Amino acid sequence: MSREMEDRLRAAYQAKAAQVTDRRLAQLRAERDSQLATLFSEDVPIARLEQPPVHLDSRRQRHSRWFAPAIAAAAVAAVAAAAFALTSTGSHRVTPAPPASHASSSTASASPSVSSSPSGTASSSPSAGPGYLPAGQTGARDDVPWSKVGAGWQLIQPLVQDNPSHTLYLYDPAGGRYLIFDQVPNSATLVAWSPDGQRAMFQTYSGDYNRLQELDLHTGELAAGFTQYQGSFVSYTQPRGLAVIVDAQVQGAARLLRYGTDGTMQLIYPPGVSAGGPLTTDVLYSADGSQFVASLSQHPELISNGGQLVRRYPLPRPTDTVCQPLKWWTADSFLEACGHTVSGAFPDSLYLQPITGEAPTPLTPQGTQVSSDYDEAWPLSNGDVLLQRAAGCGVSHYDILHPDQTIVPLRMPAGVSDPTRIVSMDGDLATFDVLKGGSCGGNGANDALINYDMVTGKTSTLLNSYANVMGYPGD
Amino acid sequence: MTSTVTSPELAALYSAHRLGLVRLAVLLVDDVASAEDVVQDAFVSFSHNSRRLTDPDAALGYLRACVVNGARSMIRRRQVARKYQHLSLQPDVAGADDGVLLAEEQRKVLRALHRLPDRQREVLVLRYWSNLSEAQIAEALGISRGAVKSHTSRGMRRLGALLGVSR
Repeated sequence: MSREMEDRLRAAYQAKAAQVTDRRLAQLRAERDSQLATLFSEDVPIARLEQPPVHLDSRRQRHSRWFAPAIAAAAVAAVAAAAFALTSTGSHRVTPAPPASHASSSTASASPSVSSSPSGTASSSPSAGPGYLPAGQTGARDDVPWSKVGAGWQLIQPLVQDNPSHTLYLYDPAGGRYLIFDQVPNSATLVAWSPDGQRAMFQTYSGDYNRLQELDLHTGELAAGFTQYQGSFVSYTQPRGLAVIVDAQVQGAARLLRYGTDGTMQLIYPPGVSAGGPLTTDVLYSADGSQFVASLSQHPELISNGGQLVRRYPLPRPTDTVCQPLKWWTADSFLEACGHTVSGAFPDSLYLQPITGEAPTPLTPQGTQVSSDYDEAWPLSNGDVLLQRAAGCGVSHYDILHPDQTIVPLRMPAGVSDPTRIVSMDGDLATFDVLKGGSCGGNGANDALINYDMVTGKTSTLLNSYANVMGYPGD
Repeated sequence: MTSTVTSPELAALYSAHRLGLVRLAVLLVDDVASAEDVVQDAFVSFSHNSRRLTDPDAALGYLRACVVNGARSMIRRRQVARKYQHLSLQPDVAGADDGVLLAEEQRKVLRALHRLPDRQREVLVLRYWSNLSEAQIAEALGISRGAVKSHTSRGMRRLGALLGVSR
């Protein structure tokens, strides 16, 4: 159903855009120039000058750009006051907002929705324990038990009316939180948690420049940062995050660049190596930081930290035109999404690619009714795999893949009926962005972030708003 | 390191990208005249700021962001004008000699799109018309990649409801 909607949308766009031709634009310009010439003629009665200000404003601007300024000045004198009174308020301004509402409901569903017990060797999901703030409580940065911060903890920057707020919280696995910083600059977006767990990275777009600033989570000091032209943050380097990878345009082509956190450019990676893709924009660093997997326009490649090509990975099927690496699956394999993409379509099948270059293997059984359209997966502690695919109305659908290759729907608990996506995953603890209330179409629905422990079945609402979320590095 | 885009380079950019950018703007503001104004403003802004560019070849992203921002401002001015002037600004209709007329299905989809919030409409246009990646959309709109995903999901969800699409 989602694909059908996408096709309908593309068809409508193409039909509408096809109406705009050079001929039509020339015709329109001729009509408007004729109207302008008439409108600003000295013989035109005053009544004719009292045209809708919006139209005149736009015509006046065009007129002043393309004709003699004196003519434009005469027009401005007639309509300027009315036109200026109706100009817009300009760009977004994020005004300081009170912290988003902090919910603390905690419920347990009647039965867990995954196979029962985790394997004996797997680590259990984090849950409330000693040193955690109770859900719903907010502490100060000085009270953070830093020695306990690890798996299951999250950095969360709430959004207010779709704009990043000025606040950054550190949430513990129980849903309690600490206010780390409350002076995040306007429009600065949380984009990463450094691998050593010490810093958060914020990115601010200014249209053509991109500013990156680090926040020391322990001291609350925000660095001045550095600006970079027309790029976007991709990743910290590993293992300590002493540098960052940025995806930028260099001479018209997407390139990866490496900067020290002080803004010193260190390296421009070879042409063709980019992190862009329809599903995610990231590189997969090895644990020691010596190399990483990045996607080309078609093939994933293993690149050394110095920029040398180590290995190019094959596409699994003759019909595939792209594979995009998503995450490390094991120490020596990564999960990738592959497909035959037709100008913007998403890849539709998941594969596991050995780092050594052997042929990838499908994650889900092939040739079954529900083997395709999965765009993300997470390993669970009991050997199952959580699968995600797009469903109708923009929500996501989740299934469980058992080791015997059977697939069953994940039974979502009450209150998590319309998940749009998983924003963070740690073991068996998933943080969902959900739409609460309303029906398909989202009328009356609001975003919420909800933790769902798939072993215990326990849910807790972290926040009754959407947010930028970063799980503890290494999750 | 900075360089200035020369007049011939600007003319070449205009020739190469103007029509595509007007089409993008039309999908946001719906009438061709306003769309052309938005694109003209974008090129004017670009010419004024070109000396800050370190890579003149990377202009399209800048222009695209200008067009999206300009379209949003245009819509707001239009909404204010309607409020104070009791105007009914009708979208352009195709000329009688235009070869491409919209089918009822396409008109239905476009009407539904106009009922989406600005941000959702912008994300869907950049995703399904401009075929931009998530990162490119985030850059064009000045929002996070997560927000791009969310707006895409919610926009498609709402569009489906408006068109009566069941799950």
